[in-house]
Amino acid sequence: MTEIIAGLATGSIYAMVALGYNMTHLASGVLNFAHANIMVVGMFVAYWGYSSGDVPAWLVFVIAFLLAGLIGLVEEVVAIRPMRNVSGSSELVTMVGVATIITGALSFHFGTDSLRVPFFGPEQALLIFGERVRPLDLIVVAAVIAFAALLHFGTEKTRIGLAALAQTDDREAAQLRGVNIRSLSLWGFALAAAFGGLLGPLIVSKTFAATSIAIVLAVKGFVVLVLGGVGSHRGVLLAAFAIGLIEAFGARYIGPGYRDIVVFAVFCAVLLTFPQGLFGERRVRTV
Amino acid sequence: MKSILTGRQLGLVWIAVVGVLVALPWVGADPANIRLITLIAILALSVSALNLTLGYAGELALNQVAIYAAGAYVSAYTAINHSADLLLCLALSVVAALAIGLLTGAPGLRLGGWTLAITSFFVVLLVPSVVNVFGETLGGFAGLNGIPLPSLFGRELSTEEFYVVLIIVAALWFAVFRNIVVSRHGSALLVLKESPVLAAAVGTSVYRTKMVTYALSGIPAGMAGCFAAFLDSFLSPVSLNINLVIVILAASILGGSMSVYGAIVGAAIMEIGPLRTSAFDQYATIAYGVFLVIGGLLLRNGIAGIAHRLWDARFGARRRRPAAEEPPAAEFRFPEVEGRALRISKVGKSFGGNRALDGVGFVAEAGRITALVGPNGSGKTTLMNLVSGYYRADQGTIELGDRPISGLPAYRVARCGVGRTFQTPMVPHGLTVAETITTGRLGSHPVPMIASALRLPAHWRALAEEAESGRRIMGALGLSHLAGVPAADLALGTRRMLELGRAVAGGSALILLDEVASGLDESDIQDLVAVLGKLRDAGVTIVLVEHNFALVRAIADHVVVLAEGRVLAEGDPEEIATHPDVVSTYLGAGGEISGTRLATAESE
Repeated sequence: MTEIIAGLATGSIYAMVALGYNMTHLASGVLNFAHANIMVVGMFVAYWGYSSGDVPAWLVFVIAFLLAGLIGLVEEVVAIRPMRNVSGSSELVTMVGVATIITGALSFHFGTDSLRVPFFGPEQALLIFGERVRPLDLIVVAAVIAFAALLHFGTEKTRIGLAALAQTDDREAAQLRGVNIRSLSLWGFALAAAFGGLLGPLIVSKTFAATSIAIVLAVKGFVVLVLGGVGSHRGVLLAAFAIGLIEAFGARYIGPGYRDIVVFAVFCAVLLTFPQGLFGERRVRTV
Repeated sequence: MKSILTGRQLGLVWIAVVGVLVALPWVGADPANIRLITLIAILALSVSALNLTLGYAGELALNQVAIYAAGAYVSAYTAINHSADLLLCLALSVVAALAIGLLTGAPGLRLGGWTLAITSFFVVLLVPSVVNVFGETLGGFAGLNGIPLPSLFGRELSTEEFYVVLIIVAALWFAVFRNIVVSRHGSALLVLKESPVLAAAVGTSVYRTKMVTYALSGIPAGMAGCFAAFLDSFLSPVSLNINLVIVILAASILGGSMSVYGAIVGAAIMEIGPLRTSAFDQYATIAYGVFLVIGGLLLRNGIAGIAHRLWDARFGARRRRPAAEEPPAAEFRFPEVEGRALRISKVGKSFGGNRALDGVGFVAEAGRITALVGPNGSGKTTLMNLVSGYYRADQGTIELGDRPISGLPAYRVARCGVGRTFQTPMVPHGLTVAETITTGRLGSHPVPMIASALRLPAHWRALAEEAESGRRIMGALGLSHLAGVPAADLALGTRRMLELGRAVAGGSALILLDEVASGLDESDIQDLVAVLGKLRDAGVTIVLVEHNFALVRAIADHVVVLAEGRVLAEGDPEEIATHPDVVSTYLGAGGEISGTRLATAESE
């Protein structure tokens, strides 16, 4: 039971990253490699609020949201838009660059150690089915389910969501149908980043504020995204819970040192057997 | 793939540079500088691994650090427990590098792009865990101490001798690297980078090419790890992390990913600049990020790219001068081939609920031109893609000569002797006209990579054959004067001609031309008619999808009309032009096909 809760909570954090990828994919057709770094910015805002002493929790969230949104905005203009018509992996390179700048700036200011930030809410463990459960874990799981549901209905039921879906399928056709793909990309990127920043302070007392966590989150978030299928919010959520549980049980029964190795093995096995992910669509190749 | 100097001159320059570097310790060079060059060489090896995958194969694979770690740990373990022989450790490092490369490449390579990039990041993240799993043997997180000094043939090496071995090994690798990318194998990578569809059309297996490149790129990274382990006689998994990945990536982008010596330049800049000064340490990470963003945005192919553009501006005009006396195209003939018939019987294909082809059957006779006409959506392109192997037929069989080709993957179909062109010509960046035509021989006339890497006789033989066949083909197409011009910059009509040349360069028995005349002006079409006639004379079987009925009438021996996924009619062009069903279906009621033009508005 302890493993189940821990696994679901860890999986929720990965899902948050993957849902962020989904959002930027919807907005501009690319995955924001720096998304996890932007979440880490939110974590450091929380650390700053905690270490300053008298910053209320709501203000921390507002600042994290706005700051992250601003970073997303700048990233889109500087690193994504100019690469639109360049082939190959060039936008990946510029996004890795943005991620590196964020990491560099944070570690320049805060150093490279993991900094503890206590949870702003209740710490008192609850008893559920006779097991002690931290409220934070429940909040994190609930938050990611709400986030996924919001995204799901946002894409399926709103005009902007449908425009974004059309854009992922065929940018030119969407443009011809009157979708302003430039502003969709810009504001979608900013919004995705802002949400990432918003979630940072929520999970910081689980992850600690540390620049080194970003690459771990980026990679695990991507693993979850591939397993769940790019664009499928539901698939991502299920895959994230599965990966979280595999990690927790792998660490428990094989050994803590094998946590990541087990996830990697599962990831490779799935890639080799279902290259399109477990919930993804198969596209017909066109010449 | 322009080369400024001839291969021989380049070789001499390289030997001279290496000679000077090797002599340095004995002419009183500062040991600090010797160490700096050592570090540059080790980093340059790792960067060259990335250049091979990112610059030439177009895939961002960042597993070099993991492979470097494998090479380092294998060498350290061998040196401590068995023998510190440098050559033995190098060999084992290469084996470990290949194993890790294949193991970690297989899952990500099929999808490429993001999946490969992230899989390779993941592999790097695993390094400390994997090292720790081996426990005390590899020293765990604390690091591995007491790696003995390297030896060679039983003799312990001094610092200077170790340096010499490193420089020679690195120099050899860079020579091999250069030989591979300046050869048909380099062209194959650029073709793949342009489009996997094109790579299959010229008969190369996409997955295999990627896998071989990925494995090959592990070799320098593994060797770099081996040298690094001996250099400091201490190894820690902590330094083998994402920061090193970023350093390698930044060096590659700065120096120029699509370049051989760019790796050395990039590595030198990183070692002389950011990595050496500790005062810079705090800003280093930010600086690398800025390098990546700016390098990705502004520097087209880094410093190497700038150097090439400067050189072109200064000396370019001389190299582009057309050949002095060019014989007219009419004097050239395409190399003779034995054309084979294409037999399509009862082929069906559905996409979801849409029945694109429904029991299509016809024969395109050997050495004749068969035109496939029909309204949009009648299944012409689908049929072409089925023959090429991009789609798999739901029913029916396709045979070339007496050999069934339905069900084969696209690159195998191409190797059976099926060439093709595309609606939008696909011409890779970075190749000249002559090189582009030669890529048509990649699948049909393979040359072992080792032969190109070491410039063995098989390489030179293939080169001579390619030159001769390329000369004839370019002559027949009227492209001889453009042989050395970058192919991707040419006008549409010329690129279509080029695609035709590439389609027949491998000696195809059948070529498929998908709307080869669309977008061409009158004079281009005249040239095209002449070239298609010459191809028929050479014996090639030609199937073309075409909307311009005047063109069909001028060249086709046989016409097959498709409508709604079925064969509506077939016959010679005159019969088809007056066939009542064809006229009403293809042109709508009231239309007619006049002598030279379609009488109604163009059906497209």
